[in-house]
Amino acid sequence: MRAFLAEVQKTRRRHDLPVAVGITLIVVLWASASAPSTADERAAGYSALLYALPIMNAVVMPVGMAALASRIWDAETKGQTCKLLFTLQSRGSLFGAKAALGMLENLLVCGLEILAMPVLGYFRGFTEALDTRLCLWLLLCTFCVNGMLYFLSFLLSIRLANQVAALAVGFCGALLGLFAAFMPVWVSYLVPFGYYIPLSPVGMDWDADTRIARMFVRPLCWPLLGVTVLLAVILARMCRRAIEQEEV
Amino acid sequence: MLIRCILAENRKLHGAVIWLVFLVVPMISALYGTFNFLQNLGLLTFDWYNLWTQHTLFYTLFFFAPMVGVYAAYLWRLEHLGHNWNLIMTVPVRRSYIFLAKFLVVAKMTLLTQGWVFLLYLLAGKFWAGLPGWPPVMIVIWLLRGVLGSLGVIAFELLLAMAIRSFAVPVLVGLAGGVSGMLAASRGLSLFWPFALMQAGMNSNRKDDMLSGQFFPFLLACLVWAGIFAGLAILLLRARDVRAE
Repeated sequence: MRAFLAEVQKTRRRHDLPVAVGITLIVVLWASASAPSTADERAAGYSALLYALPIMNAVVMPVGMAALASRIWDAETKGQTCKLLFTLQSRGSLFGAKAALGMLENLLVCGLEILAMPVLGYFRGFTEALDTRLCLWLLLCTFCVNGMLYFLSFLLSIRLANQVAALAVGFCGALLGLFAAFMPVWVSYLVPFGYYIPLSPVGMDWDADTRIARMFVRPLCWPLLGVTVLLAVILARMCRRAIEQEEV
Repeated sequence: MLIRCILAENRKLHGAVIWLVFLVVPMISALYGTFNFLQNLGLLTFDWYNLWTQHTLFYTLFFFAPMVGVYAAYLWRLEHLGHNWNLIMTVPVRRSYIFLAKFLVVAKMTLLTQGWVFLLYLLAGKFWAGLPGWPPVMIVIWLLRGVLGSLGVIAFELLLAMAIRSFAVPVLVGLAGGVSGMLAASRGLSLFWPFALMQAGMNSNRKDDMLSGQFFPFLLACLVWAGIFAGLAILLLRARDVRAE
């Protein structure tokens, strides 16, 4: 707990909170601009939003998570504080505190995104009822994929002092994830950066002849969610090992 | 003295990791763009302009601005490390030259990126898609206009990277800028928002010229935005001082 409070203290001048809120704001700004406007579209407003948000997340979140992870570890890289920290606290507690802080920031990002949905719906005049179950589902899936990407970026930040690597991987990952969404389904399973989309609670049927799109609720892809959690756990363990093996 | 500053900035790019971003991002975009073009020939016409719409589909909208952010943040990150800030504050060089050298080097990197995008477009079109003939000259003009459009973003990202001692924030702001640029362009406000200028200049995802008859207002907007941010950055840099240790 003391290690965690120390991490929270480090965020004060680093302004992590505005960065986390900023990540959500990018998605909300985008979603607000592309929200439905006709009466028919408003009748399926929340379904369209639940379909669009994972696509927007696939663009924004890999870079956002890389930014959060890189900032959390960069404080130690820039200040060259590892030598001191490792004499004051166990390496495990340092990892635990940074992981907990990262996951709290992740929860804040995902939570704000979900809370913004009814607000967007209110201002856009959506007539469809908001399904809380689907919102929680989106929250869970976004949190898990974000967590996996956070630990990947965190690992790169620990291993490579140059923070370009974490950001560059997040950046290229976002591009790959977005492209995978428009490829055959099996391709999207090969690109973890874009898991937001196959885990999306709402799918879309596009009829090319009539040019009509129909939204439908998809069953949650438990195996893919399981793979995401497993990857997150493996990457978290690798981060812990990287901190334990860090030379000072 | 400005030339010396530019040479010094160029040296900082030797063996830098940002070259990987420079190489990989346009490559991913070209691979996907060509694949998508070939998959959708039922909807698209088999010509160079349609290939262009697919190559620039997401690259210009979301990834061009953060790439500029990576270039800018990298050059300033070096100054924020160790005691380098005090070093640049005490070198016998005008502060404006320090900023202008970085600005010109990032602009050069952007120009090279556009050249790489064009080379990939040419190779993918000729040898993968098998398009007949050569790309229209207009495509080259659009790429060069993209560089002009990016000048305001370069100055803004450099200002941000100078003021905020974080590598991640300018990249994230670049992404937010890309999204806001797309929204501004969709409302016909391309000339009033620097991130939209870049997209309008490159004529992303369009076959018809977005700036038809509007080149001079576009050029003026590019120069004004770049001037505002560069002026602000130089003022801020003049006000900054050494950090007492």
